[in-house]
Amino acid sequence: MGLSTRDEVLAVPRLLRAGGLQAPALPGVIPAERDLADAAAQEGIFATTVGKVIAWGRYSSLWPATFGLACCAIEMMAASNARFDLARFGAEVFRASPRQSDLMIVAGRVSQKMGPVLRQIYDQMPDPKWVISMGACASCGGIFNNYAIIQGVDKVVPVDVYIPGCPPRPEGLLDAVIKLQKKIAATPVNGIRE
Amino acid sequence: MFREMVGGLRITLREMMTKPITIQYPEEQRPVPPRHRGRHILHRYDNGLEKCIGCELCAGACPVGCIYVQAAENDPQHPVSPGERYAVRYEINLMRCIYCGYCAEACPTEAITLGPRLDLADYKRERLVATKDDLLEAWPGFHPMAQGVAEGRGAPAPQTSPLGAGSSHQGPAGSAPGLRPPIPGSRGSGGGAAPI
Amino acid sequence: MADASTVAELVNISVDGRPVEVPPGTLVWDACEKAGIFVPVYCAHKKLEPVAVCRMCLVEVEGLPKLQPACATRVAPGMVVRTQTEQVRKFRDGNLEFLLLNHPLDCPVCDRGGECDLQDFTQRYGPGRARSSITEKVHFDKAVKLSDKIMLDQERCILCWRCVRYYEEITGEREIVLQERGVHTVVDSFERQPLQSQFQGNLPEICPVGALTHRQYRFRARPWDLRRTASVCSHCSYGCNIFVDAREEQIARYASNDNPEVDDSWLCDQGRYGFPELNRPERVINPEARVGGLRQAVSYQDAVARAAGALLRVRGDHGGTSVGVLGSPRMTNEEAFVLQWLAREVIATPHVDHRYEPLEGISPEQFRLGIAELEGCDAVVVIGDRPERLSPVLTLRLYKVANKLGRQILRVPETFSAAQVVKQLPAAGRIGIVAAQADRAAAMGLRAKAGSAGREAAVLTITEAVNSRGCQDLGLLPNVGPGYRSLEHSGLFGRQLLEAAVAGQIKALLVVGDGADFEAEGLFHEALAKVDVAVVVTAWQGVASRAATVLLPGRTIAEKAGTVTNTEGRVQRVRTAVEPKFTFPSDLRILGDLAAGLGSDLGVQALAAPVFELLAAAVPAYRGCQAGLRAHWEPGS
Repeated sequence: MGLSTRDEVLAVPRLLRAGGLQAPALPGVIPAERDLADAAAQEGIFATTVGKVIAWGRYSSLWPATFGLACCAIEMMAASNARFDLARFGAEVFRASPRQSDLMIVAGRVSQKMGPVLRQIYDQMPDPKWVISMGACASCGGIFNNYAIIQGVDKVVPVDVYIPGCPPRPEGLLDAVIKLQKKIAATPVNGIRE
Repeated sequence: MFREMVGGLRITLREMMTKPITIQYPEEQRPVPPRHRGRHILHRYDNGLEKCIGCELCAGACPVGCIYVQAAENDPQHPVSPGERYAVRYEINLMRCIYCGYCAEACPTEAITLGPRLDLADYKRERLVATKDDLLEAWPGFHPMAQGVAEGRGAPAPQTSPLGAGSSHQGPAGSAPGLRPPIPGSRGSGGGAAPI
Repeated sequence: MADASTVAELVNISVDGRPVEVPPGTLVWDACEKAGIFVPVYCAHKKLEPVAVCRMCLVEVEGLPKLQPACATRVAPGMVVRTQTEQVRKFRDGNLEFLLLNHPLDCPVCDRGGECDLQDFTQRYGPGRARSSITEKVHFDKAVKLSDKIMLDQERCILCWRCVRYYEEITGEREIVLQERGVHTVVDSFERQPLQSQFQGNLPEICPVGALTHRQYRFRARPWDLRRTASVCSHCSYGCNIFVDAREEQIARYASNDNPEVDDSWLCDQGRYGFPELNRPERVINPEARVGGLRQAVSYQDAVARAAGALLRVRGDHGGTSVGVLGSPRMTNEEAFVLQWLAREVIATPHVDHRYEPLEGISPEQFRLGIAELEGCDAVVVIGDRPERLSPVLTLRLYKVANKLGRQILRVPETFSAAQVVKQLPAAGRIGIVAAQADRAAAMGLRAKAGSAGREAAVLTITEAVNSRGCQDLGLLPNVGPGYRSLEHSGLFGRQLLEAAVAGQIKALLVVGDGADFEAEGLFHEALAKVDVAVVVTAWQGVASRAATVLLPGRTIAEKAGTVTNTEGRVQRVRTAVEPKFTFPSDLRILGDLAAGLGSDLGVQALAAPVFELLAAAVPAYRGCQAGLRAHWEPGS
């Protein structure tokens, strides 16, 4: 192969940035790479890029920071038990320390007073990090359209996936985790965010 | 001590033999209970006319104010719904919605029900405002505005529509349940399959 | 109602054990209201004579064998009324069951749903369940277009007669009648001729159910969607009190807000249905300025600074008199006052006007008579048809004066012989003269003639636009200052000002308000093209906004707070009913900021209330009037 893997990884974002390529249709796969992979597959070689491996590592071991604020947290706990088994997505390790987690599931209403705390926890998480806003209250205030509740946690931290529902069922959270995994897989490794 | 250990591990050993209860979510889905309240569906009559009459009672009943309805007057030649009134805009902020089902409760024509759909997560909050096109039940081959009711499959004709002029008052506004037109594809149909 | 002589002999009655004192002749219904007890009623209406057809207000009166209709029974000394007994409850329940027998289950599609008396009373007093089948209802015509304004639904009618009586008693036009008999009785126009009245919009308002509805408001909104703001109708200078009902910052409808001194709860159709004018999307929404020949959006502060700089430059180069200032009769009093102050004191130009055609020889004496005072006149002379064309609601007041009070109304053509008219007037008593402002000279002549013939006469002049009177009172005219003070140097009237601009004597124009009086004039276009500087503060895109060198977004009258003065001099509040699509300061604030840019501070915050205090200090007649009182002009001032 003419290209070293390192070159490829670096070339992808550069091309994307220059507008030379459309965003890939399949997550993590770009046309030029696909041709190479096809050619290699014929010779029995499995080729991949460092970027894809890193992304795979990232989305397969999402460690959520415990941020259960209200009733949604019960469903979040349910999602991690045997029936729904969040571990199948590598996301079962709820960490009590933000330093060890890369996903924040905001489950419940965020009061004005909790806002700065939430932001601080988010800031303490190491990059790369993602946020799921779980349920109506976290996403937009829900039924608590009043002075005390932040009308959407995205006023405090950037949110990657919103889950509607009051509360969403565990399947809803699993669906969000799957969607987040797709998003991580589609995100260039050097961290250009949508 | 050994006896205690075996006694304690007996449960573990027994459970090792049983089938795991884990549901492989995206591939395998738990059947949704018939009265589950997921994403909303706007229904049609058999002839394709919309059941929604734009009365805004759902919006009035909504405890979070996530429903917006703008009503308009039906063109008698090309009605969108039976009767005088229809919803020209119908929007639900799915994110604000708490899926309480009061809208379905308040609806006089059973036009809105809460369906079985669970997988509503999205990346952008703008996309979580469902418009009428998103919510409306698909009805293949029929576009009421374009074709008119004459081609519809035998249902309330516009002139004798339940809420319009004439004598048929057994219509959607009627409160006697036996007199309502049959409700096709109502809630619960198809278990976990999403009809939209 | 009681006058001074009968106040002494009040009648004592008791309603549900509560003692009430009312004048003799009062209806039991009014006495109950005074006692704070609500009696449901459909047919009775405060402004209509009682008929007692709906039987909803039946109450028990001690000593009488049967229930009595509260809306038609007059009080007697020592009367004991009970409204909450078992018998009354049973009658209300039965009555509602009868009313609902043939009433369609239309509530979800009915425009009245949510503010319907039938819904409300059924909820409160009704049977709760029907005993008859809904398939056996008697059916009538639905969605009948009675006119381009009114929709009739005969099924929903509960035959309260209010619409029929309204046409008989209030307008005298008799366009709606009850037809057929018994269970087949319906309201309809005769042979379904379209309604012609100018006052149809009142029908849906007096209808207790959804039988008569506005076609304009049809399916537009639900009562719970609407935000209601008490304000003043902006159609004419009559100053009818209204409620502005808005949905999502768009006006959805106007509803009447009874003020017996002005509108007597009736609105004309031009006013009621005229608000779409204010909902138009052709708005100015951004401050813009011409920068190097090209117009572009600029910040608000930049626009004000540029406007002030340009005006200062013109004043420095050519003197203050080279600046012309044009207002609008649709400005609030506060804006009019600040604008004339800005022109006279800050820019130092006498050329300030609010209208196109010159207005000369005006005085407060021409507005002496009040609208409600017409009822105290023994004869009313109406000069021409212009007053009633300008302010249609005046027609209803005149009809009341003639038919309910039996006074003489004398309609004379615009050119008349005062001596002839005086001869036809009653030998003594008060004479009211109603004239459009264009006929003020004739009206004052007639007043003088009547005065010399020994009659006490007063004139009610009808001005044109909503705040024409306020602009005149506050001196937004080149020939009089605030409070009709005479000036040392008169300026140019609107038209002359524009001519001078075309001739090159006026170098800069400051145009504030909607400019509706000017927009249609070709001269306005020419003048704006000719002047070096055109500072425009307007809500609407048009000739002025296109030609402006500096453009600032203004507000419509529905978006402002302040006061306006109606034609009789009543100072009434307009309130912000809808918010504009932009967040720039209000017109009043813009004028204040402009003055600051020109180096002169208003001295108070540019808010309506403190500016009104300034204004009242300059025009003492306005002192304390901002809550709906007539400005009190000293005779001969």
